[in-house]
Amino acid sequence: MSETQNNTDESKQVVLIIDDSKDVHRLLKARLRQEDLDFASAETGEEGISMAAERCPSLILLDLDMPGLDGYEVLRRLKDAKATRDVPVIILSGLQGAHDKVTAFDLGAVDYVTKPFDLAELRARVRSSLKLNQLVRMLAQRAQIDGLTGLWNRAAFDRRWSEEYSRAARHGHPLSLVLLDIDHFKSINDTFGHPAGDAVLIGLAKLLTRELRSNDVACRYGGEEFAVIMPDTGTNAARQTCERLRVALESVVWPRHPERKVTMSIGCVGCDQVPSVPAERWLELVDQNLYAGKRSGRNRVTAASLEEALGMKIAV
Amino acid sequence: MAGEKRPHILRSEFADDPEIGELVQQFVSELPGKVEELCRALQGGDAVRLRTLAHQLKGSAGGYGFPMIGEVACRVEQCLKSGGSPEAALEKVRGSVDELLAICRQAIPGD
Repeated sequence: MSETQNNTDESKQVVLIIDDSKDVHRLLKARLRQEDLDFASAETGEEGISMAAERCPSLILLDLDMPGLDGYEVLRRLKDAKATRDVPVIILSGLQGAHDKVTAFDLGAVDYVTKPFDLAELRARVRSSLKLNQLVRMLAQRAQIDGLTGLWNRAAFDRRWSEEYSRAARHGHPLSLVLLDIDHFKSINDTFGHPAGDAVLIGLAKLLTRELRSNDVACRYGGEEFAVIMPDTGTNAARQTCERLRVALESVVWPRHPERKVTMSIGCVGCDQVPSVPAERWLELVDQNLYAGKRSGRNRVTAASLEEALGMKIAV
Repeated sequence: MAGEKRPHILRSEFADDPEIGELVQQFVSELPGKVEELCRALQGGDAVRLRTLAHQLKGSAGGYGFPMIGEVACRVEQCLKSGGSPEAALEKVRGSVDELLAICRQAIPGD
């Protein structure tokens, strides 16, 4: 005899139903009972919009023809808001004109079901939208990840840096940016082969993941260069972390070449108040620090506050 | 024998659908309440309420296997949407509402 477990499975996908009729809510839930979904119900457009932002549903079933805020307007607002923009919306409507469908698709709906629902069609469309949504999410995440190291890639770095910069600029929170470049990487590749070079990149990525805090953002910036965004971290704390990373890499014994140590040069610029330069300029200053370190002998941390970095004379 | 006064019977298309059988019964059992509300709205001249009720029936009745109720409700809503003064709209809609009331009263869940 099996016991039915009343598990609140977190992985259950949430479907938000926005329709002004309670009877339609009941009916849809019954019709989709077998699909193993959680449901959220909103009976007005306004309620639907706020619930969508709150519950992050995997799919929204939206009635087009509602008193007050109608389905088109709800759809428009859902697509305008960052939090709900990517949630697929299936339009439910009794209006069967081609024009309505075109308008709904133009506004960003993924599909369209006419009332009264054909049972098999409704299920098939809900299933296909959920599947597609899963794939799109997966793809979006993959597109942000570096294939070799599993760290965030350059595209993700650009986005995160601009986000973190804006956040710091808005609130005056401390923020530090770090660039790390493996010293003489080419010679590792040339001497021990590309698999050895790859092992070093992967090893450094693992070291970063292990040593950094969970809200630090470690990225592969390109080639043998890595970037770390350290939110809520001022210059001094960032400098200490960088030094710890430098020592940690230097101490690694590499199975493929135990006799050959690997080191890196690190440039770091932190800021403890509202930054006085744009994000791109900040990044340039970090790069300058990194290359100052390279020029003065490698295997070192060159860290400065934003103000110090701006005041530095760049040796030509 | 079918006398003249005997009302027609409107059976849900989904009467035998095990998935929503109970819901159809619930829907039908709630119809008299809705009929009463429709009557009250019509008598009280509450065009907004009338329109809301018709709108909701339009959207839901088909799904419970009563597409005819949905169609008549749709006519009531259209009539009220078509503008003019509320008094004129109410006067115009009276016929369709009567029809809607009649058809709602005929609904039964199944056998």
